[in-house]
Amino acid sequence: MKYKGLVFGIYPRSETLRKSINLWERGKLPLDELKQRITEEKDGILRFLEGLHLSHTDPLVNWHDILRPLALSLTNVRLGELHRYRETNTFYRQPVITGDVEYRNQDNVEHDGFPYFPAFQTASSADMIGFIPGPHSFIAMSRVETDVERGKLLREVATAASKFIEAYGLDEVVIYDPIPFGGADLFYLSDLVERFRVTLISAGDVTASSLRGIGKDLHALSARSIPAGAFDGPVYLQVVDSQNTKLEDPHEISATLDLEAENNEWSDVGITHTEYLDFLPRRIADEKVRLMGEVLAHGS
Amino acid sequence: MAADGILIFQEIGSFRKPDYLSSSFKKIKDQEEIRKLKERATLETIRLFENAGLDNIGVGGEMYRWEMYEHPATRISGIKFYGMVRSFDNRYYRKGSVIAPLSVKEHWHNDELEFVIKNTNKGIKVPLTGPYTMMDWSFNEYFSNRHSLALEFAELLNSEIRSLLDIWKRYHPEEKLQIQIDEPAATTHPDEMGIFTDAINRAVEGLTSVEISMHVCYSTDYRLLYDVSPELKIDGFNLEFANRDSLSVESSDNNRKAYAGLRYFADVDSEKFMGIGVTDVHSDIIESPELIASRIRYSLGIIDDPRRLRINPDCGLRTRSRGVGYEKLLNTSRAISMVREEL
Repeated sequence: MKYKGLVFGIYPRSETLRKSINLWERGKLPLDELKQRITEEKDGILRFLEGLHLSHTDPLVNWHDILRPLALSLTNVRLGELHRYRETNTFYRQPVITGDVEYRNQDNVEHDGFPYFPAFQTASSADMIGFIPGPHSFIAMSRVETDVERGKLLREVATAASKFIEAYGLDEVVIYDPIPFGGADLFYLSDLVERFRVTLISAGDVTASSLRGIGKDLHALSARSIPAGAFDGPVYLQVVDSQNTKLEDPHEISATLDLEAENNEWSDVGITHTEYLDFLPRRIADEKVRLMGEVLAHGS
Repeated sequence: MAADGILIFQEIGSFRKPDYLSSSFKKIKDQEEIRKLKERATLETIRLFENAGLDNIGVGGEMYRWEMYEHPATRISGIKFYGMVRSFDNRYYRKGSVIAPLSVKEHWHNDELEFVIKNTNKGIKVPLTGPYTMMDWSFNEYFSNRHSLALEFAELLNSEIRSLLDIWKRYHPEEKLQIQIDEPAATTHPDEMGIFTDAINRAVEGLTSVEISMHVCYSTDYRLLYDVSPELKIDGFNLEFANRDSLSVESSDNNRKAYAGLRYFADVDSEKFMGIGVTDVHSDIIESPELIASRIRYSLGIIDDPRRLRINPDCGLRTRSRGVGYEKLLNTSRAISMVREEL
């Protein structure tokens, strides 16, 4: 059986880029030079991923965290204090939501001057996939200081996220929900899944009830567990651990894929990782991605 | 030392390094040269702490250490470093991978302790990164589960405390060695408080002539910690409060809301001491002696034995300039004097 693979979210920065950003922060590297280095870094990662025949989102090496570019693109959202990302030792700048949110043109966004934009390097790859945090996680990871009703807020964030993707002319996007939504109704994603080819990735479990309104339009799905029969489309199994440097055995991955595909009667199955890869040293992320490519190359 | 151990004024750990040390810490390869710089900075910081009125100067601001995880991790066999991982924005740290059984290849703080002992008559407290945090901040490629790895780090910590105790006894055979176990990760996995408790108790198992305190900071829920307090074989806590408190001098439950959380602690544990953070290490605002005194008085209304209440900054003051750090400590000292006179 031949499989496919997906690499999503923030890819770890190289030491060279990390040091370049340090230089820029100290005023020792011009902004244009930094932008050039970011472009080159993204191009290099994209060539690497495409050489392994892996689907991928933009490498997002100019994203400080998975919420920031979207947070900066919303009205009535400001950046708050650093906040722990789930149960990790990594921190993100917590968005503070103070009212109804709408998408705003990124040219007018005021921030610390770091080149968060363009968020996606669309010219580098014909089959570039965008990336956004799921509205559920965006709100759950924010401090909400408004009495706007939650369902309305979810729809507003989803609409703004849709315009965020649209601004780059992309027709495919990964929506990543690090905060499990359990059995909650995903009604607010209906417009997004109709307009774009959406791959929904959840760090938690999904239920048939949460997919009820959007399942038929969803392009692909990945979750910690997917109940048999809950989804007919392509499924990505999270078989590569993004929070441990230990390298997986490609043969074991292939065996797991075969077993899961057979047990669940999945005809279209692929592999991805548990979290985005930014929790790993760059060298290990490269190794894990190479390993994913190996599984794809050999199938089972 | 404070008279009768009343409202002991203590440092938490780190203090901003002088530029001559921070700019050369990782660049200078000559061990002798860097040792001299560390000693010079430690001496200067000890004097600064003494002038500010501290009863306990810790280890002189941790001038021997660069980072609380990397310092011990690079001195342990069985940990491999593959590269940097992000902490936030473009700030990164070296996160080790445990790839084999762990053993100490070089003592972590012996040289630092010996130098500090020789250069102050004030109280000394050695901060050590705790076993749970070491486990949580490492990748685990070898041990079957997080519990096993935490206990492995606890074994190492136990042996390191014994090594420090050997040095301490040579100079102060009649006094207890004060150890502060730093556990910033303590409450980050609420369902692992059992692992945390087991690891701490293993780390201090069989130790005598040692006073053990624990520093935890920026927890989202200290009740998780207080709930296991009776089971922890330690003598007390040093925690942060000031950053969550108001700047109003007037004492009320609303103004002193951060310290109101002490009631929960007082309800579950009537034995351990509590070191309260009275200055915010993430702000350049120099809290007035009157504000700090208000925080101390309010806390004394909950823990009414001044021997069980110690006074400290929220966390290490390395986040502030040395000047701002000194001013914060000086005002704390003034506030403690005010309250001591009232007792």
